[in-house]
Amino acid sequence: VALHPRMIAILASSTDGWGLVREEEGYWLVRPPYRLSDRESLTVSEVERAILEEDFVLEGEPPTFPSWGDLCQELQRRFVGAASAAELEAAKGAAARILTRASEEQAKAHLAALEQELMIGQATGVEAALVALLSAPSVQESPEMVATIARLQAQVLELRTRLRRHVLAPQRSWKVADEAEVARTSAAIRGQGTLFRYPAA
Amino acid sequence: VSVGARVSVNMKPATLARFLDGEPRRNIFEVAAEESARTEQTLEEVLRGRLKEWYARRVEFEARAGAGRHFHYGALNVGGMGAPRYGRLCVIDKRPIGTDAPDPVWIAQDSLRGPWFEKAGQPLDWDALRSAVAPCELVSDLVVVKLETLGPSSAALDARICNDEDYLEALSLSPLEVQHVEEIRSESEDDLQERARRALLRDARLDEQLDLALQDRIRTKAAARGIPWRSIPA
Repeated sequence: VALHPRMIAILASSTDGWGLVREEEGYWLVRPPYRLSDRESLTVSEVERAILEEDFVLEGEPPTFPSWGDLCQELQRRFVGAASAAELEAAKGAAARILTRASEEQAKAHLAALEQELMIGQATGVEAALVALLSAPSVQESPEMVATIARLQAQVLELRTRLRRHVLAPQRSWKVADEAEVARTSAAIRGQGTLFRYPAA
Repeated sequence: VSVGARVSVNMKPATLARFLDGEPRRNIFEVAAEESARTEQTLEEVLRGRLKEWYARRVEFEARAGAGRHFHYGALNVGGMGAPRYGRLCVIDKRPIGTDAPDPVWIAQDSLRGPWFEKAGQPLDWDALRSAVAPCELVSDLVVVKLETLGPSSAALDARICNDEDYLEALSLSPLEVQHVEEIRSESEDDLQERARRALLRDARLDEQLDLALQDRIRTKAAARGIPWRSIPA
């Protein structure tokens, strides 16, 4: 396949989002989740081996893309498009299930990272991660880690409460004492057509 | 080698999932034969369509080396991740080499990269190929010859014998079957845990969620079959 300089082409792909890619004279393997580290340079014989041994389907007319981002988007689209409704549904809980397999070292790393999240005021997802870790056998065997999880859960609650207070703070400072007075003032403003007491000079 | 060596096969996660479901490992010729039986295409047409520019030399190699029979490929493994370039998971055959099975013929390197293919457009150099082949029971001898050719190195022996760049290839007429699996090795367990944590903390894309689900599924399937899952440091 003759490629325009800087164009990259999908030579073959499989329904799990993996792709064999050609960029000028080089070959690449690309796989989910499509980070730079998920891209590996291949020799011609490694491409041949992948086609022989795996389920890659060669493209008749390899589609080309101006950038790696565009190419990866196409592989993502194919991957999601090939998934059944049941697979998409099952995928929702996969991350939590993987966390339940964490080794002791991995669980400790998770707890340190989750604590960092809370320190920067980020609580989203932390509770779900803590709950998943509580199901990990490595955590259940460690009273120390169970205690850390309890402490972090308390921090999540505290952070949430603080955030809620913070969100409601401006409204509370209004100090509206008389709803009838508010209604009268609103009607006067509407009649006047402006919030300014005097028209502009 | 004579005691601890095994045949290993590297697979990508989706392939491993089907294998753990009990789907037999099939080589490209078996896949093409099935497709040919299903469609109106001849075997040759299917193979040409699937292999394209790699068709001619693959067919020539199998015709000469297999005399009409087609191989299943693996690698000699004395520990480690095998040749994980495209197959991030390493499946170990529990049967000791040199017993009843597996009974591979060994090639001193990847059969697709050897000097027997170096002359582009020329027929396979049969003499060059024969000089790199050893029967099943002579694998230890082949390892010694290979290590001598490679020269001294401070790298671990398992990585010298089998790595991304170079390995001793096992050619068997029968495929690896799921009941023969000793263990599955993975070098991406820490990375997988990090990905899962990030997916919980930030909204992960659908494709990332699907891949995590596939990774979870193969570990569940292996556990259900009682196959140990071993994390190998990257």
